[in-house]
Parts: sequence; structure tokens; C-alpha cells
Amino acid sequence: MKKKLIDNQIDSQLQLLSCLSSSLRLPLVQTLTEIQLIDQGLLKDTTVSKILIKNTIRLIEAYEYSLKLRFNNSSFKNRDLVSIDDLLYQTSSSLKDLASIYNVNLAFDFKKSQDPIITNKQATLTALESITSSLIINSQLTDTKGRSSKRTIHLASHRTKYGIVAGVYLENNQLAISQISKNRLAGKVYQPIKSFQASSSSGLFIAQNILESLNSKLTASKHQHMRGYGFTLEPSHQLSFV
Amino acid sequence: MTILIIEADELLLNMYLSFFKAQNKTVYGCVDADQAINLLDKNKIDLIIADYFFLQHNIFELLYELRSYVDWINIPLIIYTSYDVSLHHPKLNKLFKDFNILTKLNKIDWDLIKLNSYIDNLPMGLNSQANEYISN
Repeated sequence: MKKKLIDNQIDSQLQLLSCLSSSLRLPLVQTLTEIQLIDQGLLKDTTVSKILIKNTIRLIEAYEYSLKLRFNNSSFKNRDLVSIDDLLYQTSSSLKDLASIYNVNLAFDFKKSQDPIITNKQATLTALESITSSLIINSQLTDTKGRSSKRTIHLASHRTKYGIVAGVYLENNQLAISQISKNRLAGKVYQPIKSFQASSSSGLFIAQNILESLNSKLTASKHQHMRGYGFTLEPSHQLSFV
Repeated sequence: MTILIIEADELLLNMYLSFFKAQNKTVYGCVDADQAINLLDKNKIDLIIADYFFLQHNIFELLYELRSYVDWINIPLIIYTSYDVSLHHPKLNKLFKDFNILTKLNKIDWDLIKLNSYIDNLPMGLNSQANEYISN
């Protein structure tokens, strides 16, 4: 029984590694192409490449961090009192440049402030960044109005009876919620959303890996009229009175 | 020569469009198969360059549709990809012949300049002989 569990974990990690290695292909090809255009005098500088490389390094670091959390069981050691709205704001700030080159507007919805939560701050932030960068790169594909139109991705939180849901949402409704609801992300399906490129969905799997270490999981989520990905964290009941 | 480029990544697509425009080619681009069909409907396309995967479709789904119309049955198509899918699908060469695919070029080995000179050296009126140019 224990051996089977370990085998499943290894399979799941191998799939994640395979997905990550595929994800590295796209930014490398983009960088290579940009260099060719600079050589031809069609572009002046490497602004786009710098942003893409930074994002790729962030993805690799997130992967390493997810492994560390998973195998060291350290996620519960560094728990802090954090505001989920603050984490969403930090996510939108750190991915501002990536969003701009993909013509995406990152909107931060904070109509109603949520209660503080006790969680591993770095792990939660890394999960949010991984989900958001994946959606930025893939939101171009769900756009039906044409490739040049500006798209908006919302970072938002809301309360449910199970806790506080933090999520990343798209304005259009083309995310295949039923598909992602039926299948767990890592280990069972390679592509959670049929419209996702195989090469750029590893951020979701990494986030899933991190969230499992936090005893949460990445699920399909709805916020107002929008659909996206979210995860539930328990609020700190004692501190909600403060 | 009028080229249609189908590339799922918008950043890459814009780079390809800038390059081919600078080479004095008429070039259209899109990120998915349904947009490709629209562009083919509205313009006379001489050559299609496409990756394996798009938004909700792949190249073979597009080709099933494309090759069912007399007007589009012979438009030469180059697969320009960074994936070596043939490694995983040994029967791919048969599909290449069935769908009249000109060739498959790897983005890493074939930079844009090499791709452009390959296109420039293609014989005019390529269509039914396209399979002769399949590279293994």
C-alpha cells in the first residue's frame, strides 16, 4: 500500500517535471526569435526577452520550492498571519511586466477586505504567481475577439462557507470548468483545459503541488460572472474579532 | 507570395509577421484554426506556415477541414515547430503525405532567415508535387 502511494507520488512528480521541461521550450524559442529580429535590425533591444527570462526563472524557482515543500514537510513551519488581499496585490505587482507584453490588464478586485489567514506566506504567494503567469500566457488563446484586443485578468478573493477563496479569473467564460472539476490536476490529466497550450500549463501543476503541501487544492472557481482557478484557505477565527 | 502564419503564441506570431513584412512578403497571421479559415476565405494564400498546436485545434484538425475544399486542397503547408512530434508518432509521415504537407522544419535549426530562403527557393505553382519535398 505504502509502495503504491510512493509510486503514485513519483509518477506525479515525473509528469510535473516533464510538463516543466516543455514549458521551458516556449520562452527559449521566443528569446531566440527576438535575437534574430535584433540581428536583422527589426528590433532595438531585448526588453521582451528579459521579461520572459525573468518569468522562466520564477517558474523554475517555483518548481524547486514546490519540491522543497513537498518533501521536507516544511510548509507548516513558516506560517504567518497574512492578508490574502496583500498577496493578490503583490502577485499583480510582480507580474505587471509579463502582463504588459501579452497585452493583458491585471485587475485587483478588493471591494471587500477579507479576514486575515494563517498560512505559509511565501508558498501562497508562489502558488498565486504560478497560476497568474499561466493564465497570462494562455489567456491570449481564449480570446475570441481577435488577437490584438486587450484582455483583463482579475485577482480576487471571496468568502464561502468553507473559507476564503483566493483566485485568478478571466472575464470570458471559455475555461472548461467541468473538465477541471472532474479531474484532479496533477497525475491524472496532462491538460486541464483543452484550450491550454501543452507547453505553458506547468504553472498550474506547480501551484497544485504547492497547495497540496498547504492542505489545500487548486480547483475551478467562479467569482461574480468570471471563471478561473482558486483555492480555499481557512481564515483565522480568533483574529477576525481584532 | 502571400503567406498565412498560424502560431498559437501571440508574441512569436508578431515577431514572425514583422520579419516577413520586412522581407517584402504579404503576410497574415492568426492564433487559431477558425481564424485561419476566415483569413483563407477572404484572401488568396499561396503558402501556410503553422505549428502543430493551436487554441482549440491542432494542425491535423485544420487540415481535415482545409483539404476537403477544392480551392484549398493544394495550398502548400510548412509545419514550423519546436516539437519533434515524429519521435512520438511514427505514422506521422503517412499523415504528411495524406494531407499534402510540404515539410516539417524545426524552429531551433531553421531560423527565420533560413526559413525565408527556403520559401524563396520553392518552385512556383507548388501543389500536387508538394510531397516530393517532404524531409525525413
